[in-house]
Amino acid sequence: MYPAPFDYHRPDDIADALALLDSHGDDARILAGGFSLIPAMKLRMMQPAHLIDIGGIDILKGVRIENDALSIGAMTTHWEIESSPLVAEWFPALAQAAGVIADAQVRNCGTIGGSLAYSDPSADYPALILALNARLVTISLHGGNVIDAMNWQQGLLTTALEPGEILIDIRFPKPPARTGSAYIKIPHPASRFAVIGVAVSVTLGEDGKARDLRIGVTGTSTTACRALAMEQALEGHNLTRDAVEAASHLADEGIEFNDDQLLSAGDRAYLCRTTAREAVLAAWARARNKASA
Amino acid sequence: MIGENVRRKEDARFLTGRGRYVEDIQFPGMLYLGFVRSPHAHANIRQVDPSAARAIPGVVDVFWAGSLPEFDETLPAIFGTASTGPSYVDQLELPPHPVFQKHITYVGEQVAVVVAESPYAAADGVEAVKVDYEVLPALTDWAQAMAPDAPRIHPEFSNRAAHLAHSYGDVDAAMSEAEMVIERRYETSSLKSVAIEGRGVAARWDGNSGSMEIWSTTQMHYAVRDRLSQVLKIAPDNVRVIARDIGGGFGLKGAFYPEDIVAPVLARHLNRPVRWTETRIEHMLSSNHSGRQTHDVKVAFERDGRIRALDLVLYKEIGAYCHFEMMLASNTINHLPTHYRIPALRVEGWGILTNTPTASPYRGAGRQEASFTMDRILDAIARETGLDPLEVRRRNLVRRADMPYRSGLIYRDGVPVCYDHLDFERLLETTVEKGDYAGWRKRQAEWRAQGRRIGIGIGSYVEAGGIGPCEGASVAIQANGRIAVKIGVNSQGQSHETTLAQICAKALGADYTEIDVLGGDTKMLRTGFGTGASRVAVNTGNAVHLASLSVRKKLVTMAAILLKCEEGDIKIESGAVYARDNPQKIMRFGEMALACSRHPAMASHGGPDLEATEFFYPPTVVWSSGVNLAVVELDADSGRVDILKYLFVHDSGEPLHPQVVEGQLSGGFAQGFGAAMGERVAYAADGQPLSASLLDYYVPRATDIPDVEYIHFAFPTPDNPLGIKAVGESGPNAPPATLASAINDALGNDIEITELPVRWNHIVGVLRNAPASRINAGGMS
Amino acid sequence: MSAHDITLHINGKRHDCRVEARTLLVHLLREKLGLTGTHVGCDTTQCGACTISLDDRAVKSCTILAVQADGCDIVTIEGMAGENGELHAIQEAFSLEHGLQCGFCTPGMVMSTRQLLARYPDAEVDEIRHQLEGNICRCTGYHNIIKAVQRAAAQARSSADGREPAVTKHAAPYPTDLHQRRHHGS
Repeated sequence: MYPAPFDYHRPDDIADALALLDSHGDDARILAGGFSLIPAMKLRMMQPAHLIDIGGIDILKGVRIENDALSIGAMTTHWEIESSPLVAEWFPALAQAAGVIADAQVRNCGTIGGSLAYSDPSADYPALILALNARLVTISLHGGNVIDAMNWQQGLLTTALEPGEILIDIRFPKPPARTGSAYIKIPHPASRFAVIGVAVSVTLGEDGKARDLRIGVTGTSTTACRALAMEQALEGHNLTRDAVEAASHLADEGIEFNDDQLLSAGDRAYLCRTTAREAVLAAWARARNKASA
Repeated sequence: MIGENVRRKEDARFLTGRGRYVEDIQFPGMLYLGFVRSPHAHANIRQVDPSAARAIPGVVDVFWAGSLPEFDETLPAIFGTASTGPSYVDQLELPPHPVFQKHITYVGEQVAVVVAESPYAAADGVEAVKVDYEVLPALTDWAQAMAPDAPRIHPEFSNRAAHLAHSYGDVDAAMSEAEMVIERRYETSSLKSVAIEGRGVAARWDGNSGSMEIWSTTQMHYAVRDRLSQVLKIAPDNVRVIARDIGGGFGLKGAFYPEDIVAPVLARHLNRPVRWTETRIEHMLSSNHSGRQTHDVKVAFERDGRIRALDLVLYKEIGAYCHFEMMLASNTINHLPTHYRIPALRVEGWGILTNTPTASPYRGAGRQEASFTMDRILDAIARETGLDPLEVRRRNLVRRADMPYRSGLIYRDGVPVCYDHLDFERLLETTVEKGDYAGWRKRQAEWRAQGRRIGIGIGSYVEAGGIGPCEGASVAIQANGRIAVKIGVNSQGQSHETTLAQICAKALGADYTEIDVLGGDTKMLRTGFGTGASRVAVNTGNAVHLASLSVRKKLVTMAAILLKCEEGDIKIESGAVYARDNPQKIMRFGEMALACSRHPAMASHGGPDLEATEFFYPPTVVWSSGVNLAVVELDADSGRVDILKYLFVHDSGEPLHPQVVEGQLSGGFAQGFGAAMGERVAYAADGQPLSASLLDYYVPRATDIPDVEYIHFAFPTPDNPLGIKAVGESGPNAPPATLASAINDALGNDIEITELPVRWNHIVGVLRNAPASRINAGGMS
Repeated sequence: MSAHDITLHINGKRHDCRVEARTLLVHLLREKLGLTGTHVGCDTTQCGACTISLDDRAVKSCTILAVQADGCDIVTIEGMAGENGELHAIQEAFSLEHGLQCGFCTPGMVMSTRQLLARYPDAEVDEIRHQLEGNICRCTGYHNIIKAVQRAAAQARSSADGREPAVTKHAAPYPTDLHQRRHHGS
């Protein structure tokens, strides 16, 4: 398969990238790894006239601690996240998720920023930014925005990113002590995207009860979402298996699921409930391990 | 030499990137083809507007129906190794299949071809061609297409393109007398071969000599040569088809396709070389597929589990054109009994046109459907009688003492099916013992009490391989000492260069490293019938054996003359001949070839070369067989199927190269696994494909495939000089039956699995409604 | 459409090329540079037949623009064997274990294995399977490919003599037990 013709630009810094984006407007797309965009261009489903490759902007790469948050540059690859000791220590769920995106070769090239900006409804990271309460930092010639994870995905393949904006950084606030996180994915047999992916973060309070429980679910239909009813049912409780099992009944509440030949919406809701249960228990176990460590 | 795991001759070039596949071919001045394909399943083309495409830089021209007289030519009506004897088919209509036409009958059918200076420009051109369609209603389901008032896919032809019938024994009497009768419908989905290399063709016309050179991914290079010589109206010997390194075939590349004609016709018309290689999406849309098959069965049996009679009506979706008559359906029928006795049988089969590409053989070619149907029947009998499924199998088994056993079926070479020198009992009992069937049944009950869902399944297959009519081989010792083994078949990964060299080395007394097996080129041998239907080892293998023996005979005669001793005193070993009593009298093969080439005594040995060509004609097919056992556990949370054990017990006759045999089985197993667990070519009601890429069509990955334990038997066969059988299509046949059986066993009687692939939603449906695994069951902490 | 002058270092040799912006790296390698050992097997970045090493990372060259690779070091399957044609230990292991049949996916498998052994020299079978998930083989059923990788890993361990592996070793941060490993289809 062969992409349609386009002009390629490789700015050295963000200012140049923004200037290019500004001058080409809707005709331009940002190339941020390209492992969603180039496949779409090969199939000619997308035919931008200009590609602005931000792969040469080093400042957008890497994982670092900044002001009590883990800052992950938009051009950090899945492999760099998967293998980062910092990510593993702070957010095991994120390391897990990065390690099951597509395959090893794709993980070497695909980036967290590229994935989040493309906003595939079955991608893994959207569940993670919800569970880990991330902020997404964008920049444009006119300034920039810090966008709450809850507001990032706006609809099918649509994000809060404004024209002329580039996603540059994803900031994950430092978890309190005794916080555990986990990600469980049920992949599509052919595409290996998430049929259901559930990310969970939970903190073990001083009283032994769950605090700040957040459950992000991806793969459902158009955007990832929080399993708010289940969160509320468990917040402030001891997460015994019985309690989690009972509350997992609520995991699919208010969530719309795809319905197709592979699985019915009801089947997907079931997978959402079982996966949420196991992900919460896994995150809880990690929180308890941290407490006893 | 035979039976040893010698180093594969193919490996070094494949491992270092020096294979020569069609897409690797580059000729000076080459042009590239891109096809405009229909987005509609059924339509008439009102108009093609190429003007925008012709204006694109790099686009040379655009052609479509009527552009060139050769495009009115049709594809060969029947491909492959069709029936050569009386078949079950009593009605057959073959709609002609032109290269380009104005009546479109499936999504992905070729509408026009763009010729360009680069593949990129060709793709630009394809996008720019405007086509005006009159969209017609599509039929993608046999039941709709068979309806009396159904619209016709081809106006001049009934949608009911083919019919077959066969019976033996008194089915009606058994149905009325038997203690129990059940009816079931078993569905098997259509499958795509998805060889990692797609189809392709490169063509170069030599105007001076009036000859055509074609590099093709075909499995049937002689069939391509013969049809092209007709279309191009030149002598067959002026068409050279080379099909050397091919990246997997699995049957799909055994068919003839429009592109096989388009590329050489354009190469001649434009007097420039052309190349076309299929994209994966084209593969999914336009290449042939196996065709969905429905089996309506009525089974009469006794309370003790013994089958009395089987009545089968089979519906085969054959796509928009019928190129394989009823080969796939008749394969299913002839492999249907597998290891079991069906005392009375009546079959009727329909081949029904649908708005999809043509159905053609995919590895197994009807055998997988047979095993699935038979083993589901046996499990259904177990369910109805309360007997253990193993016991039902034991009671219906064709035993050693029953052989030679003539079932009453007639193979498509016209010879009655006969099982002999086989031992189904030993295969089954070995499976039961090595698979620890009793132990797993015990664990199943124990673990069930803990809420774990374990299932055990057994599946059986037979594989008729080595169908004729024949294959040939030419073996020659050359003056530099190397031995050329020229064959009339090509390889898609089967290791012919290795295994056929082993056969030659043994029969001729040659050094394995001195042998070059040369195939996949119509210039190598005058005639061949192609790679498919698990026929090369038996046909070509024995031809190599016979030709090597003939050369050996010449060697002995000439060595006696040259070494001045008796023929009885000549010994041949490791590429040298010598006199038994005087090892000083020795000549290397190369020296012999040189000496013979000018020796007058060769006049009575067919000419100056130490060469012989032989053809092997098998009397009929030879039967391989096997039994599989699977133990699965279902994950209650996800419906995931974990394979706890998979055992593959088989007889494929004397192994030429044990590693290659196991490689064939494990590759076939993975394809069978895929067919059980998710592979499915599906169409929406309007004919739009639902499996247009590997994002939708499941192909097993390294993470999916379980460890499989293989147990090898080699029951001797007197059917051919080498005593060998087929193995190419043994792998995929039983895994779907076995896995479906095991999964059903784990799910229990709440569901009866009657479809392939086993559907994830069916499993989840049972799990989410089962009290034991309800999410709020509690008490599990 | 823009054209670009780029420099690639492929299998130890410098190549200066002019490419259209849209030229995919795999097409530059195959069609312009004659390195046809790298194959194309799907349109959707799944099969891995096009896998090469780009700055010591295994990547799918069908989804990278040639111009993106400007200045990079590339190793293709043609660069794996020794100067005198002797097979690399990974290639040797694939041959000994019959880890290839038609040979079409093989170059990609070898290039993925190269990275796998560098990153996970002690990989267990589940990790091997996970790391090869991006390479589809339709012939072997992976059975002998897994054995070949295990053989190559053992060979590498026995000949390592304490030398540092070519690529920095990263341990898998967490075991993959929570991932759904064995998939189920439709």
